[in-house]
Amino acid sequence: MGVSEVSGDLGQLWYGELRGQLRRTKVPLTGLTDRATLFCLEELARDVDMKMRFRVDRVVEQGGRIRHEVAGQPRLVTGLHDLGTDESFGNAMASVVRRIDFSSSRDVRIQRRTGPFHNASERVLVAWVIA
Amino acid sequence: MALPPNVSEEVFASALSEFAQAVGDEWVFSSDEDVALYRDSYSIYWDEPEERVASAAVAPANVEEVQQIVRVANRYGIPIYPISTGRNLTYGGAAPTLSGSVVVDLKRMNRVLEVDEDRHFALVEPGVSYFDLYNYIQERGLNVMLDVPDPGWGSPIGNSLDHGVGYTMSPYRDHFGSHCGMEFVTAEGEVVRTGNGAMPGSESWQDYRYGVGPMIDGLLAQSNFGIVTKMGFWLMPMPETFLTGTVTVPRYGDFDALVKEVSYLEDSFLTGMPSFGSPAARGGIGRQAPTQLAELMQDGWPSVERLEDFVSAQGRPAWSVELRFYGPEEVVRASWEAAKRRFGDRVAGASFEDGDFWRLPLPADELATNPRKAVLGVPALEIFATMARNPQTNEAPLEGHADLFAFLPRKAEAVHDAARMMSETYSEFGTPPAHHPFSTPINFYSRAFIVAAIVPTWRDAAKNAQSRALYSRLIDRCAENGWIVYRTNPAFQDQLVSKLSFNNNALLRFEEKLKDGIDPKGIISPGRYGIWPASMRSGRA
Repeated sequence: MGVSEVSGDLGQLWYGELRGQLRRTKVPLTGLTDRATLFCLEELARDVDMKMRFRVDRVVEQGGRIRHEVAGQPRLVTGLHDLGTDESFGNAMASVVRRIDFSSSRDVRIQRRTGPFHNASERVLVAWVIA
Repeated sequence: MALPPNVSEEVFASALSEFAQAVGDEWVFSSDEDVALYRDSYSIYWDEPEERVASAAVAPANVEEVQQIVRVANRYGIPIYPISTGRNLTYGGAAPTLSGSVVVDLKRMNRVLEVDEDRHFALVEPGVSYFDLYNYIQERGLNVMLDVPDPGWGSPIGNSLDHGVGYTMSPYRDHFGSHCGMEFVTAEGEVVRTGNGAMPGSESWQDYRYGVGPMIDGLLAQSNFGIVTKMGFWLMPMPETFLTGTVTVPRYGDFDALVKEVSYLEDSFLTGMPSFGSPAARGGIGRQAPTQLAELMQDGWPSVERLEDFVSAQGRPAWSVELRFYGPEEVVRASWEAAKRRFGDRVAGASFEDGDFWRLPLPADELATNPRKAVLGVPALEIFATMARNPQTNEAPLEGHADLFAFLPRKAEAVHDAARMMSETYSEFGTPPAHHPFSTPINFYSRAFIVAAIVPTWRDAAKNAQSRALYSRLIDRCAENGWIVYRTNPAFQDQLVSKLSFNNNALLRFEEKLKDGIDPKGIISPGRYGIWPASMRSGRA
């Protein structure tokens, strides 16, 4: 398993590293990014015939309360609307990755590809699985 | 699953089966989730019946497979839509012009065939992105500079065929203008090479683009006469240095002189792409007008006298232009000195500020944090992160955009007229205008000005309807003024080409005759830039 940090520009990571690895061996990608980065990644994933399978938009509401918008296979979504914060959030995502059935039929509505400039984008982090 | 028009499920299944025989099962994509990857993320019809969607996609690995795909499509009457990377989002992305078309995704044809650092050219396949070509050059330490669009995830072939542009010197930032030689597959499956490539054994395919006889390369751009499978591009020798300097002029009325002098410098090949701005309005591309300017415009477009008073009250120069120089140090410094002398002689009160000076190529660690990658020919995706975080550029929520770039003569008056037309049209639709009397042009093409309108697109049908109405009105207004919109989203291509009405649309009628002769079944990208096959013309918008 490889872990990469992205700061501002996904381009060199994708073209210089990830795409080549995924062409050789396709493995699920998971990450926590802002929406702009995820938008680019969703577009780029077409290079290797990969697509969004699961996403949790972590929206910080006024007053600092965190709300999770979950989209993916129904059996995974159920029970995940009350994801915790901090460590428990990461643990829940790790559990999701382990439980995703990559062979089952998939909902195209997950492929939201919401443009990067949405007004709420700046403060939203998204945990996602692309495979 | 969407089906191609007038094609039954049974026939389509047979066609897909033959596509699979040509390219392999794994390279034919027909499930809903796979086909959804080819939606246009910025579609101005998102989730509406009129959204352009593919029926399937097929990804050939080489020219022979492209030939087979074309022959199968011809046999079954299946419209196909070639894409290179399919990421020119504001102009349709990977989605076809005609719903139900099969996307021919050329991503597997991704070889850099040659980069010659002595004769300064590259020969590439359509699946090669600017990042790929840049990395190829870096890994080999070749002494050439790319000219890249921003963002840089597109391909040189796709970008140039849609008349895309970059940011360095004028011969290179016109990407189609700097191409030299191409290979394409016709609708009948024949392979054609243009220019000197038509002669077997020629070693000058990327040196001389005219060959002998008619130069037909232009027929492959913004059109549907073939599938381009190779293309050559001239590259700039890596300049020794890069230098910038900014000129400011004090009065609103000085813009005319500023424009004329910048044109002189550009047409003399002394500068790269100039970047205009307005210190008085704190304006520039994508900048909002300050509150004082909005107040000034409350009663309509201000007179020149009021604008001069406004400039005086701001205490800042009315206009600025950043000049960019590429070349040996002694040359760029001399060019900047010559520019200062010429501006000083011609515009009273002109002032000058030295900018950046870098020796090229920059070391990788310096380049990584350099915010001016595009003017240095370095592809990046930073624009997505930057725009998402900059409240100055995006106060309103924006999920995508449809760009409209109006081509103007290089005259101050034309820039002001275009800004006024766009401002008034936006206001007519209740949209806060981004244009104002200090709006500045973009010099993507050295011989013309572009004034840009960025129309938002949404995940909301009602808002998209409003955006479409605004965009359509802008096309009308541009045409009324004789301003060409030089490319557009498939949703507006019929409307746009209808404005080319000289001699009863003789140009389009000529193109249609060519289409009928070259691609009588109309299988390649039907409708692209208004060129429909005969069987579909009656339904044209």
